Amino acid sequence: MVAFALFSMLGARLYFLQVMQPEDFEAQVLSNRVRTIYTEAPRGQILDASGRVLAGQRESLVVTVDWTVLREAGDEARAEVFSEVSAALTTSGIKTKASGLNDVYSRAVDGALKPVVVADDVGEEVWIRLEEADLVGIAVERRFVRTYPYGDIGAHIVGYTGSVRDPDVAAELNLASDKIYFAGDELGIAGLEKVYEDVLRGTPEIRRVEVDAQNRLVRTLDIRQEAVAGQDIVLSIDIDVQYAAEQILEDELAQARERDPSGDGLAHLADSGSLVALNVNDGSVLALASYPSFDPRDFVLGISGDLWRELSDRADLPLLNRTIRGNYAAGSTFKPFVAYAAVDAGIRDQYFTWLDEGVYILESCIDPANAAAGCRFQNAGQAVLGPVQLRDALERSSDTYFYSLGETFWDQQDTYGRTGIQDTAQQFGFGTQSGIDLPIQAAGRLPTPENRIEQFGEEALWYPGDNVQLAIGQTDLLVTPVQLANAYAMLATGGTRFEPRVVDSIAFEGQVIEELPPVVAAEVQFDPEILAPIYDGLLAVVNPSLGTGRGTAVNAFAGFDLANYPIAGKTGTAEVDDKADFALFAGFGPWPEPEYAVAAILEQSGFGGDAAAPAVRRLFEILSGAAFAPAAPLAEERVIEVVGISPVDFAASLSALELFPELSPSQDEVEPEQ
Amino acid sequence: MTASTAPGSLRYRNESNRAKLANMDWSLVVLVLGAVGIGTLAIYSATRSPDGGFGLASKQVVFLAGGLVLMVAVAMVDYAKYRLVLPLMGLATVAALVAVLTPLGTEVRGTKGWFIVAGFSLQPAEFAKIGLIILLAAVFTGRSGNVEAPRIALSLVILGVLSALVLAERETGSVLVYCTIALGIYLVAGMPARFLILLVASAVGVFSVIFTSGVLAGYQQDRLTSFIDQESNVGASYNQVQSVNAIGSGGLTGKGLFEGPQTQFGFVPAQETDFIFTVVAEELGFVGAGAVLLLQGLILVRIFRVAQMARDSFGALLCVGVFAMLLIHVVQNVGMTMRLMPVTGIPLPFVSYGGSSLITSLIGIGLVQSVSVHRRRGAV
Repeated sequence: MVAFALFSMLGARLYFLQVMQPEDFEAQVLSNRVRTIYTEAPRGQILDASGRVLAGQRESLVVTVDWTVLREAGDEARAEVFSEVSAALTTSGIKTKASGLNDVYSRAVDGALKPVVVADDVGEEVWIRLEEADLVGIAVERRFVRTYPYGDIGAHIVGYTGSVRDPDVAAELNLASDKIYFAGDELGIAGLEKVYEDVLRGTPEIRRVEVDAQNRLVRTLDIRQEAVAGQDIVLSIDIDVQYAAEQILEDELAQARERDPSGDGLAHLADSGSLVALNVNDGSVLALASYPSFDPRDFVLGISGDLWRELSDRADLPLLNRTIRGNYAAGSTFKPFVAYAAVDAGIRDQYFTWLDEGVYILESCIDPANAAAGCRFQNAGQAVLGPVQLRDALERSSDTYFYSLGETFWDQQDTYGRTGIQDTAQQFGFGTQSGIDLPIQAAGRLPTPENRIEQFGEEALWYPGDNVQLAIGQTDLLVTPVQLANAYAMLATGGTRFEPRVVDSIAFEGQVIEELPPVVAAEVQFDPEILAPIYDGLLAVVNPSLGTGRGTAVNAFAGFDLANYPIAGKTGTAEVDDKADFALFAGFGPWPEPEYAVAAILEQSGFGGDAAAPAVRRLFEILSGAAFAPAAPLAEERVIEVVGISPVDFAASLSALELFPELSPSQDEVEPEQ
Repeated sequence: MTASTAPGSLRYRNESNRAKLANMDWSLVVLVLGAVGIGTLAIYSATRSPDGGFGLASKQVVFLAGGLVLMVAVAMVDYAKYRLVLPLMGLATVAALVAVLTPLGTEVRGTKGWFIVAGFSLQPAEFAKIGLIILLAAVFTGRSGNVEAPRIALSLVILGVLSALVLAERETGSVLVYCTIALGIYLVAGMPARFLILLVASAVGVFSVIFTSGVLAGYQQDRLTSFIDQESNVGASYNQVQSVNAIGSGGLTGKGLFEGPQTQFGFVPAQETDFIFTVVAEELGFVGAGAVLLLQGLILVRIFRVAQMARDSFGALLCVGVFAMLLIHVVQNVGMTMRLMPVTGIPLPFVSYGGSSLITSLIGIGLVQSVSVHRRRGAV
């Protein structure tokens, strides 16, 4: 009886503790006699296609504060220690206040059981002085510090690291991955540093030591966990090509700023843009340039609050990777996909001849300007192109040809469905994330009557004018530069779309240990007979000898060796309210066995043929094997002096960049183009 | 006192070893092996080395093998024969406890109670528990229901001598076990209530004197005061705070074997020995810890059954002694890990790491098995 009662008591207590969970036991971790000393292992490197280090490690002399020791020391002793340390640092040129050290200490108390860094890259003299002073709880030790030898080149791809903010974040990370984290540990925050965190992060050394009542180390009990360095990731990108792409983009933006305003009469701000190159046969990325950029070295061991505010407040958003996070109106680069939808649906065949009079009247809509029936839509530059077939409509970018397709799709929706254009576009990847191995990518937007109401509410009805605008890639259709390049890559392959891949393989100690295979995002059997005239039209856009010579990008490619390296592509000039036109170009080559797809979007830079096509042409010169000068320079060696705040992923804190004309509830009353 | 039973009243059964084995309580063996299995797994989890070494688990398996051999050996001998060597057993027990206080013994973790022999450490205070059980059972065998003063006096002398010796070794926990064994045997032997009350009252008195007189080492006082006043001494209650956190964080199904951070990062001191229950509770959760409790409970139930079927009161009292020994171990140890009891160095039978403890427990089971093997004819 007594035994039974005692057992019931034990069982009840066990149930109370384990199942009823009266306290948050997880959070309560203390240490006493046995302390666990924990040392991070070096993080893996990020290497370019030829093995050059884009993100690496170096050792730095850091001053650390061990709060577990200082807490025992008492207020007075602690104040003395801090004033001694601040004096040592300040004499050596690192201005530090004792109160600042006390702040760092206060934040660390009850956090991770490891010393926190209060100053880094200190000189030998600080080391010697502090070692001689033998201050309680203060140590000078070597730690690994992240380096980014190429500075801002490829910064959006490489990303940056920060630190694990507090034990709660560490606990979440420990739940989510099989790595071990404590507060204060290095953590990938943006770019590849974030996506490949599990690969790059090493396994820390965990050593148990016995300490006496004064927290002095008595002996090492055991090493629970040997340190294992992180693995390296090897990119498909060659840093020289990446640098060339960034230089081209920057240069073309500069040239666009000099050019006279185009159709809309607004001066070109041309302050930002993207240039993307993909391998159409496996999705590997060759260049991913987003301008403007930033220097990830500013983030090492924490970024100063001022610099962080400056970077994140700047109007041209340097921290934003526009290639995957910029949502842009596609403009005429969308036309090949509308063409495929139309021919596939049987609305027109390739030989149908449309009379382009430069203007298209949508009868069903009321134009508020003159209160007359019918809204006017017209070609860019009010050009009158005369009779055009499908390939001509692409070569010379006839808007009216596609306006009429847009209206027909809508008028005969009983036959073609309400979303005939969108269904085809979706197959090319519009409206879905490309799946690239970079974080926080946007999905663009493929508007349909249904999802527009979901997004903007019951007021946002779909009018025939929307279909007309959609057919030339306007209304609220949005693409990211990577999506656009990938859609053209799929067009080039005739039906295979890959997820773009920046990382090619994983390596350890110089040996490749895992090749990352291409990932097919979609496989569609497009009809070659429908594709043929589209290819013809896109080739004619670029190659005078393969068309009438009046293609919209013929000038941009003048002098390029098109005879040996034919390129197909499409210009786009997208309109955004109150801003100069956005210049777009997307294409692939060499025809007939395409290897690369390239897309450029230059914000507020005017006509696609003037600003974007030259950027693509110059990148193709490099991809086609022409010798190119720009070798990526190594950034200057820099000493990191400031321990600042741990940054966040800027893109995650920001809603995606969305640049398209504002939607008014009465889309049928669309203003005629100027 | 030896062979006081008339030969005619006892029918020694000279059965074959095979028949004896068949008469062992096999469900008891299975339950014990189950508990040892879980324990060894937990020891492995708590002490394995990063390169895949088995840690202390392999040593525990060696102890288990030795202990099982001893268990069967003890079971095969008719327990009545143990009465024949009582004086020898008493002398050996006392001698071992004395010897360990001499330079022959070694001090480990504040306790001068260890012999180091060929790399293995032995704790005579553990083995003395068996000696005490047999001695007290013998003292009270005879006319049951009529426990006269001389016998009580004799038993108190035995208890006092052994307790004094282990106290000198600073094995406070063992004193608790000895007293519980004695109490169990007193109860079943039918000690009059007035004696019992007197004994308990004087035990409380003795305890108070000991606690206030400074016989206890500082850390022993700390443990007890920190249990009573959780805030008084952070250092001393550290074990229990960590232990309760580990148990509580285990939840219903636990963190998974080898996945408990408290265990793997070694936050609970003595987690492979006295605090092994926290390892099971953290990594295997309520399911695993409940299973350990259930196994221990069933072991006690089987011992109780064997006691009921015993051929004579000596056999029954042996079972009662083992029952009391295991019961106080489980209650005190598990209670300690969950902060129901103060911290004392008492291991969890069959589960904790430690050769002396495991072998002592298995010898105790061997005694019970001997009672089972040589039970009344027809008793099942």
